[in-house]
Amino acid sequence: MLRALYTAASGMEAQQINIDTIAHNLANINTAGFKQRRAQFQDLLYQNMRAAGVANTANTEIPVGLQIGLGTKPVATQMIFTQGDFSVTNNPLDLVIEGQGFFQVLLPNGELAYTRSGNFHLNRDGSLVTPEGDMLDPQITIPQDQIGIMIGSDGTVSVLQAGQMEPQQVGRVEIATFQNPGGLQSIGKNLFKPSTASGDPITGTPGENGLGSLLSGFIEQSNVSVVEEMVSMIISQRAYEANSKVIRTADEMITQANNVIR
Amino acid sequence: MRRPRWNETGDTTLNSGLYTAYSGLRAQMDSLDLLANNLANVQTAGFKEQRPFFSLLGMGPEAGPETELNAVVNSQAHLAGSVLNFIDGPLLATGRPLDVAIVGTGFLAVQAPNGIRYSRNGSLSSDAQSQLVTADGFPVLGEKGLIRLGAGEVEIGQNGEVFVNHALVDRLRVVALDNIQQLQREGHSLFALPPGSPDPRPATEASIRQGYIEQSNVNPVAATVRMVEILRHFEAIQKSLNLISNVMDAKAIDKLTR
Repeated sequence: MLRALYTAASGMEAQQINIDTIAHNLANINTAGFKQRRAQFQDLLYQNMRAAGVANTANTEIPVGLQIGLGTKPVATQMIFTQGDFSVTNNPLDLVIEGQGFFQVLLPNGELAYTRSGNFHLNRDGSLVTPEGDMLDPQITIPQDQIGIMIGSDGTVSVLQAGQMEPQQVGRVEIATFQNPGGLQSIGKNLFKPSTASGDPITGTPGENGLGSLLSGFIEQSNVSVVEEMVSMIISQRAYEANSKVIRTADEMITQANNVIR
Repeated sequence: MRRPRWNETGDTTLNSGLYTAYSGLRAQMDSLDLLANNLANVQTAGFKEQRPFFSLLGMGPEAGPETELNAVVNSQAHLAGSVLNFIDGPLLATGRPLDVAIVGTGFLAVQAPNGIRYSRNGSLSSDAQSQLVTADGFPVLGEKGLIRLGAGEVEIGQNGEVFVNHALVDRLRVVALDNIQQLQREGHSLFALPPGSPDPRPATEASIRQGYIEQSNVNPVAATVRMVEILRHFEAIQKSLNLISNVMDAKAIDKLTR
């Protein structure tokens, strides 16, 4: 009997984590480059009460075993790396990666971090930086007297300077990919850090070797679908409710068992 | 527990109905445990519902003459097994390339630490060595062994063929298991074959859907109804137990000793 109580509790805990994940997705609906998370569950251990296939008599065997499971456990929050919608901004420094890949960002502590969010700005030295002020890597510096910036689909950054007819190439945006992007560690601020599960970054030119190509003047919106999250929320709430009812049923049964002796 | 029994003369040691009722309570409790596990796993991908399977525990030949009264009073209900409901769960479109759902009778073969295990949970990933693995990091097996994906776009065909950047890499080892009811559940969404089983044959009636996961086939509404049923059965049995022990026995002891 106590099994059912703990089993149902594990179900409620799992649904709490599910709701937490859904809340995080919905809170980031307007975060550029945000990727939807999905909680993933597995069944817990089983108590083997009676094994199937064991000889019952010399000629017969037990056809169906009795295994009572002990609930569920959350195992992962997966990131769903599908492409988000593009929205037009007409700002040449807003970039989206069409396909696989991450922008590389140099953190103040000297480490590299990776992001899908391509809304870049210029700092006072003319370098491309994230809204947090972290430098894009490799560093790209735009001359002061520019009158137009163009970023090509292969990451080439060209600048038209005052008094010149031809744009000058000033650098190239490189992007990186991972063997297992799902293994990246989220560190907030739209950034990811590589982990042993993700493997080392493989950097390259946008549009080559399976890397996505760049599109300037657009922002990649989050790939969270409100309708999908709402449906998940309803399912999750109902599942939570059903598990709480199991606890109440188990409790009533224990109470009744206790009432056998008056 | 040793059960008192009716003998040929119809005498009884203490009320055997008490033990029959007790066995009923026990069976209902066990089936609530099963149901709790089903409901806890309504969101576990590839989870298969377990249904209780009750049987009557007869007394056997040593119980004396097989009269009808003997059979009724001395038999006990118990939860004899859990039957796997193997019907496909509903598909959920995720659009994630490494999510695969198996439609029809088939299992993915997984290299678990204790040997090859079988799973219906197709929410897969690739690890740092770019091998196709389950959420626990156990490698998913192809016909040539471990499946190495490498970087690139992964496509998985309906017959389980895995393509990376349009080049065929391997084919998922999808197997059909004949003795589904004898599978051992091991948690981690894995099933094990009972020891001594023959190697499973390749699945012929299964197809793979990339970008989908198979949801749990537990129906929460049906399970909630079943829960009410269990509670009411329990209540009814408890009432009869109460009647036997607190009314009949108590009266008998009280009146006969006066």
